[in-house]
Amino acid sequence: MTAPLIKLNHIERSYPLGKQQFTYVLRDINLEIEEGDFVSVMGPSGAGKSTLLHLLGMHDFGWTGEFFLDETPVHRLKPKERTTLRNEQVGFVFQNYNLLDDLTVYENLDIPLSYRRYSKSERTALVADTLDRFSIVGKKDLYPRQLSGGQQQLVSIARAVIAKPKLILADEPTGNLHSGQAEEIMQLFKKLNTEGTTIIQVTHSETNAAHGNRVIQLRDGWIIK
Amino acid sequence: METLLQDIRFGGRMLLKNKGFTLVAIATLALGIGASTAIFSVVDAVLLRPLPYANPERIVSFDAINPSAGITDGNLSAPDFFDWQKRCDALEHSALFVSGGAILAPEKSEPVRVPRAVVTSDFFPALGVQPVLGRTFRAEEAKAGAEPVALLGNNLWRRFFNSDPSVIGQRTSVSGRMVTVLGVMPAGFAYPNGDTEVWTSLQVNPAKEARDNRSFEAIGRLKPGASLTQAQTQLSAINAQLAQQFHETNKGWDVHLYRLQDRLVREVRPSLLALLGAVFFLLLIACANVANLLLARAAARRREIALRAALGASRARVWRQLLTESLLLALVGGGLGLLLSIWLADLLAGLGLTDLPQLASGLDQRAVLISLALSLFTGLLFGAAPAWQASRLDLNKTLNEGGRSGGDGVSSRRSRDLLLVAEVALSLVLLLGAALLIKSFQHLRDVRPGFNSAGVLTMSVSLPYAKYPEDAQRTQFFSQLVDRVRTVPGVQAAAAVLSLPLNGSNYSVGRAFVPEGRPQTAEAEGNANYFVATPGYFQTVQIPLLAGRDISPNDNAKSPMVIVINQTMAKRYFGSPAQSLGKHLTVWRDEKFAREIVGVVGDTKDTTLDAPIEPQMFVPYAQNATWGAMSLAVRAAIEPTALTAAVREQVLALDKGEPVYRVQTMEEVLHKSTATRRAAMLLLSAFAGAALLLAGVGIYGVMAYSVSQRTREIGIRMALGAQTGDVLRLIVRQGMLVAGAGAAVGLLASLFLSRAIGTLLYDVRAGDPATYAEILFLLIAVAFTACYWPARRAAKLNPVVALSEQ
Ligand SMILES: Nc1ncnc2c1ncn2[C@@H]1O[C@H](COP(=O)(O)OP(=O)(O)O)[C@@H](O)[C@H]1O
Ligand SMILES: [Mg+2]
Repeated sequence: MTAPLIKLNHIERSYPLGKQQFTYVLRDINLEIEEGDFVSVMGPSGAGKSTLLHLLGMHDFGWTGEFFLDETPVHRLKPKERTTLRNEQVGFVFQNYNLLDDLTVYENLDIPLSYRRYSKSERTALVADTLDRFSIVGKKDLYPRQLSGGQQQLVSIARAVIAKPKLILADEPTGNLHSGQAEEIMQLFKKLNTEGTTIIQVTHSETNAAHGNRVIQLRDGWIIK
Repeated sequence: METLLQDIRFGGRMLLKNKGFTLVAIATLALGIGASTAIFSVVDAVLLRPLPYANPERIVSFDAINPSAGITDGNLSAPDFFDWQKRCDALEHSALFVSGGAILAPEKSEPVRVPRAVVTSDFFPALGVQPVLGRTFRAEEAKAGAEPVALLGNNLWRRFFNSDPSVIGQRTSVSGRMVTVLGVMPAGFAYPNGDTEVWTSLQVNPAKEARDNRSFEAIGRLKPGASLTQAQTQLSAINAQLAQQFHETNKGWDVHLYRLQDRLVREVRPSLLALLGAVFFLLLIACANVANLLLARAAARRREIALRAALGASRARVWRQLLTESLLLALVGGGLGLLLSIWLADLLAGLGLTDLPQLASGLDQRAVLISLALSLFTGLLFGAAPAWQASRLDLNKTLNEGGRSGGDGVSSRRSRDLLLVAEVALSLVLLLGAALLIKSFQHLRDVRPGFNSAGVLTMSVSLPYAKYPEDAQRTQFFSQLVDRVRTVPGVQAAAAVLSLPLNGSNYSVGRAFVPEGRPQTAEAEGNANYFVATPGYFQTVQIPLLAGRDISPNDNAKSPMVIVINQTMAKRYFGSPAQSLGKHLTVWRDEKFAREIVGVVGDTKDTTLDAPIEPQMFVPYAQNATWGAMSLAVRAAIEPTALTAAVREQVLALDKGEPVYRVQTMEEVLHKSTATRRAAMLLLSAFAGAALLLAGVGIYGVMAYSVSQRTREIGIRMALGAQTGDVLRLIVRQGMLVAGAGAAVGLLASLFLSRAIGTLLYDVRAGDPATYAEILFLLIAVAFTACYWPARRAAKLNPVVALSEQ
C-alpha cells in the first residue's frame, strides 16, 4: 500500500486576538488524502476552509502539527524549501480568478513557468500546448477584462495546471459563475482528475461536490465528517 | 471669492489630514525654494542689479591688451589715455586712476592705512556720483604742482571726523602730505576697490609720462546714444595709429572696452551661472518629487474627484481645487524656503564666493519676491500634472470600480515614471558637475606653488615718498627693518619683497627685458614678472636656488648690477639654469644698463594656482629702491600669527608713523587664492548631494507606492510560485529601468551641459570618462538602495494577506 499524498496530524491554526488571547481557526485536524482523490471541502462561512487550503498550499506557515506531502515532512522544511516543494506539486485556482490585469492570456499562462526551471523553448511549447488543450488559442492575446467570468476561470485553471502539479487547490472556483459555466468547470476538474491530478476544492454547492469522490465538512475549525 | 475660500479651506484640511505626505512635500519644497532664493539673490545682486551709479550701463572700463604678448587685462599708459580722451568722441567723460593705499594721521589717533585711489578730475562725472558734502575735483587740480586735495569716504568721515561738516576746507595729513579736504562721498560709494576710503587728485603731465609705463587704470562714460562698439572701434583705430607713430612702445597694443559691470563680475560670473543652473535643476527635482507625491495621492483620491464631478463640478473647478491645494503647499514650502535662504545667504557670504561688496547686502525684499515667484511657479508646475489627470477621469469607470484600489491608471503610472526619469537625469547632471569641480579642486590643491607657505607671516609696509624721497632712505629702512625682525624671538628668517606669490600683495608688476646679444627693440623683448627683494627672500619663503647665488647684502647701488631669474625664464631664454649664469639682460626701457644673471631659482605661482608659470626676475632692492610699498615675509619657528604684534613693533620702532597692513599668513594667501573655486565646489556639491537625496527619496516614494498598488499582483505571483528573489527582482527591475532611462538621458544632457562649466575646470576634461563612470555608479547604487527597501517589503508580503486584500 502506498502512502497518502497528504497526511495531516493534529494541525492547529490560531490567530492572536489581543493580549494573550487566541482564536482557533483550525482545531486538531487529522486528515489523509490519497493521490487521485477529488475532495470537496464544505462548511459555513468562517469555518476555516480557506485557511485549510492556504495551509495545504503552503502559503501559510503559522500552524502547528505535522503535515506530510508525498511523504515529505512539510513541518520540518525551511520556508525556501516549502516554496520549492509548492512549485513542484501545487497549482492554485481562486474564486476571483486572480489573473493579472495588465498581462495577456498568453502571458498569464507563462507566469508559473517563469518561476520554475523551464527553458525558453520549453515554456513556449508548454503554453502553446495548454492553450490548445483548453481551446483558448484564439484568446491568447486578449486581456482578462476582455473575457467573460467563465473564460477567465478557464484561463486561471489552465494557469494552475500548466506546470503539471500533482495537486490542485481551488477555493470556491465557481463562486462567481452562473450554473452553466460552473458545470463546465466541474467537467474540466473531472477530466483533470481522471488524468491523475489530485483535486481539493472548496465549495458551497452539493452539485459541485457530487463531481468529487469525497466530502470533508468543516465547522468552527473542526472536521465533523 | 466664496468658492475660493472654500477651496482653500478644503485644501488646508486635505493637507492636514495626510501629515506624512505634507511634511515630506513641504520639506522638499523648502529645500528647493530656499536654495534657489539664496543663489538667485546673489546672482541678482552681483550680475543683474545695475551698479548704484547714474546710467550705469554707460560706464565703461579699459583693459590694455597685447595679444601677441598674451596680455589680456593689462594696465594703461597715461599718454595713450590722453590721446584716447582727446580723439574718441564716443566718450563724454573718462578718467585715469591708480589705486593703492594712504596713511592717514588724524589728530588724536594712531596713523592708519586706508585704501586710496588717485584719480583725475573726470573720475566722478564718469561714474555719475555726487559728493554729499563739498565738491569733487576740478581739472586744474590735476595739473602737476597744484595744491593737493582729497575727498573722504562717508565711513571714514564718520570714524575719524565725527561726521563733522566743517571738515570741508580743512587740511589733513595723507601719506605725509598735508591735503585739503574738498568733499565727502555718499555712504556705500567705494569705487574702485570696493573699500576705497580716500580719493586724491592724480597729477600727471602727459608730456613727461612714458608710453610704456603701463601702470594706470581708467574708466569712462559713453555719450548718450553712443554704443560700446562705437567707442571700441574708435579706440582701436586710434591705437592702430599710435602703434605706427610710436612703434617702439605701442606695437601690438590695443585696448578692450568693457561695460564696468561686466568687468567687475568677470571672475565670478561663470561660477554664479553654474550655481544658478544647479539650483534651478535642484528646484526642478524638488518639483518632480512633489508632483510624484501628488500624483500618487491623486490616484488615491480618484473617487473623491469623480464624485465631485458627478455632483456637477466642472473641469475648471476640479483644476482649481487641485491647484489651490498645490499652491497652498508651495506657499508654505516657499515660506520655509525663505527662512532657509536667509540662513543660506549668511553662509554664502562667509564662503568667499566673491569679495564683491554687492554681496554683503544679504537678502532683501527682492529675495522675498523671488521666493514668492518661485513658490507660485513650482506650485503651478507640480500641481498641473495631477490636476490635468484628474480632470480627464472617466467618471463612470471610476465610480463603478467601487472600492477597488488596484485601479491605478496606466497614464498616471507613466507620468510618475517620466517624472522619475527627469529627476534622475537632472541629478546625474548635477552630480557630474559637482564631481568635475571636486576633481578640479583636488588637482589644484596638488599643484605645487613653488614655495613653502607653512609658517610664513606676511604684512605690508608702504613708505610715503613725501617722507622717504630718496632711494637710499628706503633701502636703509627695509634693510634695518629686516635686521630687526630677524632678532625677534621665534623668527627664523625674514625679507622684504615687492609682491608676494599668489597675489599675496594684491598686485604684481610686469617688465619687459632684452637678453644680451639681441637688439633693443619691441620685437626682441620678452616679458617677465618683476620683483625687487632684499637678501634672504628665497630662504624665507623657501624657493629653491637652482644655480648660482642668492641676492646678497653686498649687492648695492654701487656694486655691479645683478639679477636672479626663475627656471622657466632661464630655459626659455638662455637654455638652462646653468647656462644662464654670467649672461646679461637689460630690464629694457626702465634701465639703460645690463644686469648679470647671478642666480636661478625655482618657479613659483605668481597670480593663481591654475595660471601657467611665467618668467620671473628678481632684482636686489638696494639696486632698485624706487618702490615704497613692500611686503614683509617672516618665517616663524612658532605659530606665525603669534609674531604679528612683535613684528609690527619693529616697524613702529623704526618709524611710528608707518602702519602695517594686509597682515596675513601665507597659508591664508594660499587659501584665498582658491576661495572662489572652493566655494563654488562646496555649493555645487551640496546641491548635488541634495539632488541625490531627493532623487533617492523620489525613487523610494514611487516604488513604495507602486508596491502598495501591486500588493494583489505580488500575492498572485507568489501563489503561482514566485520566490522571494523573484519578487525582489520584479520590483527592483521596475525601478532600475526607470533609473537607467534617467541616467541615459542625464548622460546625454551632461555631454552638452558639462561644457558650461568648462572654464571652472582645472586639469580635468568636461567629458572625463572616469568621472562619468564614478558618478553613474554612485547614482545607480543610490537608485538600487531606494528600490531595494520597497522591494524587500514586497518580498516579505504574506501571500494569504496579499490575496485577501481588495
Ligand atoms: N489573518 C487573520 N487574522 C485573524 N483571523 C483570521 C485571519 N484570517 C482568517 N481569520 C478568521 O479565521 C476564520 C476562518 O476563515 P476562513 O478560513 O477564511 O473561512 P472560510 O473560508 O471557511 O469562510 C474566520 O473566522 C476568519 O475571521
Ligand atoms: Mg473562504
